[in-house]
Amino acid sequence: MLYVENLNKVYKTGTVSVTALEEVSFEIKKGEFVAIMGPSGSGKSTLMNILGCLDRPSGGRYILDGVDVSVLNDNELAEIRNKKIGFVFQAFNLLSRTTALKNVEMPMMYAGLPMRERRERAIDALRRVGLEDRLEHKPNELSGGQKQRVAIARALVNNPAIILADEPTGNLDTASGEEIMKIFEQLNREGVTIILVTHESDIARHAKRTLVFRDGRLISDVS
Amino acid sequence: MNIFETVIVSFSSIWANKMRSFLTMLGIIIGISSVMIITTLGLGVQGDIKSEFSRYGLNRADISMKWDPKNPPVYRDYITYDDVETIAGMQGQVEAISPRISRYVTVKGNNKNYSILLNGVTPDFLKIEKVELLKGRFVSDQDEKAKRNVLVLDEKTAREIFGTVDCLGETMTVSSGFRSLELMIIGITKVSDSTMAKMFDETNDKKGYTPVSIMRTITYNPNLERISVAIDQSFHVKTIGDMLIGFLERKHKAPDKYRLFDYNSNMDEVTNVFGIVTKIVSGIAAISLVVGGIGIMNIMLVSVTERTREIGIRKALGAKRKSILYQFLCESVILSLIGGILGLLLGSTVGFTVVRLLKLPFVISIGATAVSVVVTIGIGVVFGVYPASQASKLDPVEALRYE
Repeated sequence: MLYVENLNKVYKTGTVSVTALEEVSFEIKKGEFVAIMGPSGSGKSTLMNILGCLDRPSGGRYILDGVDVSVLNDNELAEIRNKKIGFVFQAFNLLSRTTALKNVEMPMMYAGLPMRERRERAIDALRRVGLEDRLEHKPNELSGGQKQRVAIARALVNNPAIILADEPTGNLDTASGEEIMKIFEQLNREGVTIILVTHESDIARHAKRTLVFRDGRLISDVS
Repeated sequence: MNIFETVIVSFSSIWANKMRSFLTMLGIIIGISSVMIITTLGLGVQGDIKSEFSRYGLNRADISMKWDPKNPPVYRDYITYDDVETIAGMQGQVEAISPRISRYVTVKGNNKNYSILLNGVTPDFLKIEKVELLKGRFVSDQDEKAKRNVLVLDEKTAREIFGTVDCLGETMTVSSGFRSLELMIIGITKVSDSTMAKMFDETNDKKGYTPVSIMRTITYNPNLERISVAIDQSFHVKTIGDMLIGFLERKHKAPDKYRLFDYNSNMDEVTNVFGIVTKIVSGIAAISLVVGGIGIMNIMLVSVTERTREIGIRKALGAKRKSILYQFLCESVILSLIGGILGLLLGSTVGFTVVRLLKLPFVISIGATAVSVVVTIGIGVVFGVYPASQASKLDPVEALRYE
């Protein structure tokens, strides 16, 4: 499903180059729930960006769903992001002027689906996260937990190969955080592959497998 | 993302910043509306001149002596009755001809003296100019041949002298300084109420008509100073007018002594004047439009910066460069186009008001409207491309991190 091999990422600023990832290799199978842990500066955000096809590795290979995405151009990466990846961000990243329904419809809009199908699927996705009664609410009319549920619905709606959640509970209180994690667990039981980036072990324990990073290297892989 | 949705998204983001968007549009609004006002005014004036001339005679050519102080007309240059006969005989080309002598004369009525412009004409004058009679009759052939002492006044003059238009049969002493005659009023003509009549009629003064033969007696002047000719519709007025001048010049061996006055040559003058004014206003409008375009570019750059995060989100969700480019381009085009439409509305409204105040006909220039729409779309594209391409090139990782 997802396979990285000797992944490297080097940032060059002028003459100084910083190695963010060094020779990282692992495999994630369909239906897994994996937590990526590590202190800040460990390279987990860089890995997240590469796994999310927002950035390209400096070296190594990244195979997602049978496609070598490390060699794709910007437009092809946009298409991969659209079809195969669902993002859940710490800061929710909803469009503030648009309703929950329209936010969830957005990935399908870029996929070019007809309006009626988009609407039906968006309502369905919002129902899965328990927000069927908040369709026409704008983000500022929703609580933090509800915003994150809208974001999860948006991540789900194109039936992606993986859901990438980057500190999804970071901006939430404990109760809402637990609620969100329950949704992830439920989705995983339904067969959705989830990769969760966090530095809280309380959150990571919801996952079935934990990859720990330090200084750009994978130092432990515990199931 | 189809065009329809792109347009909706653009409208909502323009609407979200109403005041800012409106201020940005001002340059476009001012540019387009000023072009609209000047074209409306120009078309109004031209329309009015045309309607005024249709009373005066659209197919009318007036040939008069040229009054050049360095080369004044001498006795043998003047148009003769013989010339009038010859020209009247040019059948097929000339429909009607009336020799003219026009002078300011003093009339005495109700024991007061008035200065009026007295036109010596023949009955055919009615076939040339649309003179409508209110009462009585116009100068007839018998009047001309028998040199009857008759006078036709216009309504305004009659009212001023007699206080009424019921003055048929009254006699008045008319004198030119050379000779005086007692003339009897036989008819009253209507007065045109067009404002432009002032500009293109000989005068807005009191006016009267009398047979040319009487006018020659009063002015002690055997010469004809002017002929009014109605040209057949199938000919170009200027062509025949020039031909008639050529005929007179050859006959009198007097080059450069006659002058042609027709609707088209006057129209050309007015069109030229308005052409120059329109060019100046268009130049100013063009500057205003360029400034407006720069304003749009500026605000779009601000918008791209403000919405960096939104762009990042859209890219993360799968928006390609092209989608982002089109979205911002569409927004700048709509911004410019709304400005253009507001400018058209404002310009037409102001133009309409001004034209109505001047009692001119109101015509909307389809050409100017179409050009305005095309130009504003062009401005939106030209000044929107740079900000839109900046937006489309943003790196998604950077954009998502932007606070």
